[in-house]
Amino acid sequence: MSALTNLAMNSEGFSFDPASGACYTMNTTAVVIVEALRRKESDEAIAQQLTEEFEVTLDEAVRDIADFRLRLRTLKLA
Amino acid sequence: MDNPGPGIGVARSLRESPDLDVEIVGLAYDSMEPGVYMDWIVDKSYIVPYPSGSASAYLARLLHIKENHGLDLIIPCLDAELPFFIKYADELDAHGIRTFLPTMKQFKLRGKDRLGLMAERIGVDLPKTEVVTSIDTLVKAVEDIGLPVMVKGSLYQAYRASTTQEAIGHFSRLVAKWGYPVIVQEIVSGDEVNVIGLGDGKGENLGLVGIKKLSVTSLGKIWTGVTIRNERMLSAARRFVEQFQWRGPFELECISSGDELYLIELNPRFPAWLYFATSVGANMPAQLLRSCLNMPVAATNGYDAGKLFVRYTYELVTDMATFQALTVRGETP
Repeated sequence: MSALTNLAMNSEGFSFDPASGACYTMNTTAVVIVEALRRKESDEAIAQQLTEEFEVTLDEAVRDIADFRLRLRTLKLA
Repeated sequence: MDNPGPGIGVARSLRESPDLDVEIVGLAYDSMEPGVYMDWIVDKSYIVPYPSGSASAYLARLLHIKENHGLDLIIPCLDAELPFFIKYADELDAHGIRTFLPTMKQFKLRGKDRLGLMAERIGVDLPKTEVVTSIDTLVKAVEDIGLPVMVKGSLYQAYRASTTQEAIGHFSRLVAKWGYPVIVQEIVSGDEVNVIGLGDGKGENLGLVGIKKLSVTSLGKIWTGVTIRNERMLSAARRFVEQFQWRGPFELECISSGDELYLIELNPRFPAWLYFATSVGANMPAQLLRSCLNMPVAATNGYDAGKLFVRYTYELVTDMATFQALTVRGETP
């Protein structure tokens, strides 16, 4: 299982990696993206969901998801 | 006065085990050791001579306690005590005092000259490490390893040195306090992670808990921490017990950096943060006692990651009676 799958998260965006002991705080958008990634949804589907829940265009959402994925890789969570 | 010793953690764990009714005797080296005043944890305390001194005097003191008060099992908690207890385990057993310890051969695995081989067999890396006994060999070790380095005492304490001169200063201080040799070790960066366990001597673990240090004292001792399930570290601990048929408590001190896991030290005893493991469901002193006294050993149920440990200091106010008794008679009333 990936570190992202193992991440313990609460509804307020606090998360804990049980393997490394690292703690993270995420904003509402990040929580939505992580939950969707854990459900193995595609970036397009996640971007679409973001446009429905937040004031963001599809292009912006796609870029934000790409940035977020990069951040996850830096943190060795993806 | 710095980090607490593991003794109170061991005593507290035994005291809180619901199925054990134990009387706890504390062995102290000084009448100002806090544990002797904590009568809600320790029932009675005795002053004992230093184990690095006369072995016969130490043995005589233990037999005196056995005869006059009773002593069925000893759990040594300090590195300096272990050679004595391992060497005299049979003699103590003959007098009805049990121990649950590794053999001398197993104990020597902690030696810095054997640590590399041990690390290889349990599947972890070891930072460059050299054992030095003089300023000349120290300077050469620093040159070989490269600055900065950790300079570590043979039994306790470690200091970071950024210059050779600083390393020489630490070397002199450590030799004056702990004797030879001194260990020079490459500094590896990453998360400080530790695992403690209890080997049954037949390759099985009677408990295993992994933690990450979140904050440390100036001596590098844990102040706050969190339980983790770092599978690589837990597997290394399992392999350690299995490969070396380890008997007794142990602690592996490691550095985790990405996929790398470095072994920094093997401690053949419970650490001072032991009560953390007890509180998350792995009461290893109780397991040790059961195993040693041939009582049924409880199944190990694992533990949850994400439990926090927060250390604090506590002030205890008492009258002079205990101090007087310890000073005059060498035991608490």
